[in-house]
Amino acid sequence: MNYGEAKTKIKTVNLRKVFGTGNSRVVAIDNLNLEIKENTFTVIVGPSGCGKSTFLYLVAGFDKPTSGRILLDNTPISGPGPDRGFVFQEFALYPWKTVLGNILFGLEIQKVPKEVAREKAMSYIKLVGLEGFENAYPHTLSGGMKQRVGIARALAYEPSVLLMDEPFGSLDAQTKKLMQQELMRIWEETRKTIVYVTHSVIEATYLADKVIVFTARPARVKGEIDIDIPRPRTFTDEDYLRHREKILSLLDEEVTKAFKEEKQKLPKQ
Amino acid sequence: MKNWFHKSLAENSKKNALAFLYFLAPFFLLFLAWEAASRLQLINPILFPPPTKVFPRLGILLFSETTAGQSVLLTHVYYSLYRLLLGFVGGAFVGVFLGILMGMNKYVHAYFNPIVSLLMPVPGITWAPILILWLGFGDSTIIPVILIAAFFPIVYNTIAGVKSISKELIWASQTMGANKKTIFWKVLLPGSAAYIFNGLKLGLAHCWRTLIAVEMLAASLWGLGYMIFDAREYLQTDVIYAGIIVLGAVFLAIEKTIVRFAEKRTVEKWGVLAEI
Amino acid sequence: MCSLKSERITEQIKIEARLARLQKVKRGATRVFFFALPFLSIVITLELLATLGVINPRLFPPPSKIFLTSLTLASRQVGGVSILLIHVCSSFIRIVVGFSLAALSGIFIGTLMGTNKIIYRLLNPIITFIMPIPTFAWVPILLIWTGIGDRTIIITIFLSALFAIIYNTSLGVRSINKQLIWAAQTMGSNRLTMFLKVLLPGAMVSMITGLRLGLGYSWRALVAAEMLAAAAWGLGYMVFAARAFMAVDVMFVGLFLIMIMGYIMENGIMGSIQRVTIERWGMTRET
Repeated sequence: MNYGEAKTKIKTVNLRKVFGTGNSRVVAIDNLNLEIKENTFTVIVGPSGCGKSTFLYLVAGFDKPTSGRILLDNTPISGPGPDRGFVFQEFALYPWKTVLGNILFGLEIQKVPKEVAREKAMSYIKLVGLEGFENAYPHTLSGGMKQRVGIARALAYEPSVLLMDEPFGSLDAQTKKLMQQELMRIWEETRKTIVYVTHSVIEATYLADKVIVFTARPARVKGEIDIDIPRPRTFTDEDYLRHREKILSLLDEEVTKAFKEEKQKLPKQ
Repeated sequence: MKNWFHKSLAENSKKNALAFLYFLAPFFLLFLAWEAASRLQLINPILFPPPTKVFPRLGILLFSETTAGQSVLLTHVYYSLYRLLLGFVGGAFVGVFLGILMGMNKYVHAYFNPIVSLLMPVPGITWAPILILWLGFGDSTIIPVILIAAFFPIVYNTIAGVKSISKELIWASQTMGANKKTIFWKVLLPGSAAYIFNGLKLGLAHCWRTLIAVEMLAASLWGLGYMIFDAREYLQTDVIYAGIIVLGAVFLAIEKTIVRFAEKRTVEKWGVLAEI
Repeated sequence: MCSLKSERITEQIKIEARLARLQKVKRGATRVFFFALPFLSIVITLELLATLGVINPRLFPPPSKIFLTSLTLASRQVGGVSILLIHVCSSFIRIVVGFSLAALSGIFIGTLMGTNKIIYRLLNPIITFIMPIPTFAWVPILLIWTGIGDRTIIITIFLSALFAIIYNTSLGVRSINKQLIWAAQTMGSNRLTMFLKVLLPGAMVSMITGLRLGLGYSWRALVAAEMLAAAAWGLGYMVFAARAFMAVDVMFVGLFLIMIMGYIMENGIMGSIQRVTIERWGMTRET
């Protein structure tokens, strides 16, 4: 994949985010500069608590940066909007709406005419493999199914960017694997620009075109690794393992650093 | 709606019949023992008139007529019920409205919350003497007092309901381009519905209890509370007991029909019946 | 050199500790301020409206007058005790007596119902029917029977709390995991031990719910009963009787005392009992 010619979809310039004041001040992100190209699958990994979710929330517009800018198609973003869909780790489905209702919601807001909206929603339900469950309520679904609804919902109104915050983090190992494969299949069909956050290097290497490794807090770009293995990938392939090792070694440094910091914060005995 | 009614009636009739009999048995025993003890003067027959006196009295009240030609008993029930309706609906409107405002906006909440939490433990009837002084006896006092009684549980639960909506749910709607109005009508209201419903239930019960007490204090001619209270002047304990039975029956009827119906159609379907 | 440095460090620690304490005090003060703000604004508005004559001061006395009246009532004495104190104590004693009786009988009967199926079958329907009947429906009969006075009031309070406590206790006992009871039996526990050490703690969550409800009902019954059936003392009586003399300021003093007493009871007492028992055992399912 030649990235040189692909358009830049998202760009951050000297991004900085600080929480709290005085003694409880936390610099979550500092001097973050990165670029994400259109129609690519970018995964962000980093040690826990390093600020990756914070970063995603900033891109989504749920929170504002303390300084610096985030540009989407060269215009700075100003709050959440239908150009950036979001898939939450805890699903965030509307319990009073059916599966179909949840997916239709975005289309309703966009004032898409009923017939068209329904067809679209049904096609996405098919895409995520939930045919037959249109009229089920979220509380009757399993975790994996709930997340499929979350993904379908975020795709249905066709935002140009999809942001995913550890979407499979609440699922068990087997479902996770299945969902990762499903996500790849869905992506091959839709080719959206995806920004995906996870702490699992295994997952990152499996899914991404490019992996960006964040440093420990405050978050900066530690390194970027392109993964040009053709899909579908296997978890045992040599190339895959090689890339995984590279990412893991970068990550390990940061994890150790974060761990040391935590230890220093403990009260003196 | 009709299908639901017919189907559940057929399915459950046999089960219901047996359960119903089991349920009634203790009452039969109670009435039997009561009758005997009262007739034999083991207990004061004025304080505890035998059921054979109470039930006929119930019939008399039901069928004797007022000057307007209506059943005495039903007129009393009518007055109590319409007061309940007005007070409850009023309290519900103010309660839900303020509750949503307080749940959504932290400044409104910070301002009103101390007042609400301090006033909530004040029994509704405490306001009665003051209102009697300002507004006189009768409906002008009764309805505001029970409105207050209904208001507090409703506003409290509404606030809890609005606050229970996770910020992720609001964010999700924002990423779909929803504006504030849409979020209010399509996310906030349905999301807090279960809590609001629970609050309405509690408010109704509260309203009812306070109504009877206020009617004793402030009603001038009609109302179940008044009927019961007034009967004591002439030591008409059979009227009192008849009234108590009617009280129980009326509220049971309200609960089993309206409340159950509303519950089945809304909250149970959504599976989010919240327990406070 | 070393001693100078360590001195400087201790100085620094002291300063930081003082700063931290100040911050805590500041935060506490801000919280109190914001809590009192709405009341202050209301009091000031009312005072202004009354002085400007917008509200008829005979119908709604300005807060300053209410305050003065409370002082007068507090200082005026009967038999050597402040009037206000007598009112408050009368109400307090009545509810303590009434509620404790209801709690004891309620827990006893409730446990009986929870363990014995026959008693349950017998009593449960009756209790389910009587419970939603407003306590006040019983007052006229009580008035005929025991007339006006403390006895009637206490019995009313007792009745108001009793059913809620019985119902919730029996619910709690019946929902104890059977295995807990079996375990105690295999350890050879007798009836009393079973009651005190297995049933009571096991049903505690429901029981406390019942006690809370019962306390709430008692409180309302107290005030209302004092209006209908008190002879001379009590907060409810104070508010009610003052109406006959159009002494609105006295009514409001009574109202405030009821407010404070109610707040202390609902949030203070019940809350602390809850904290000491079930929350410590991690048995609550609420926040």
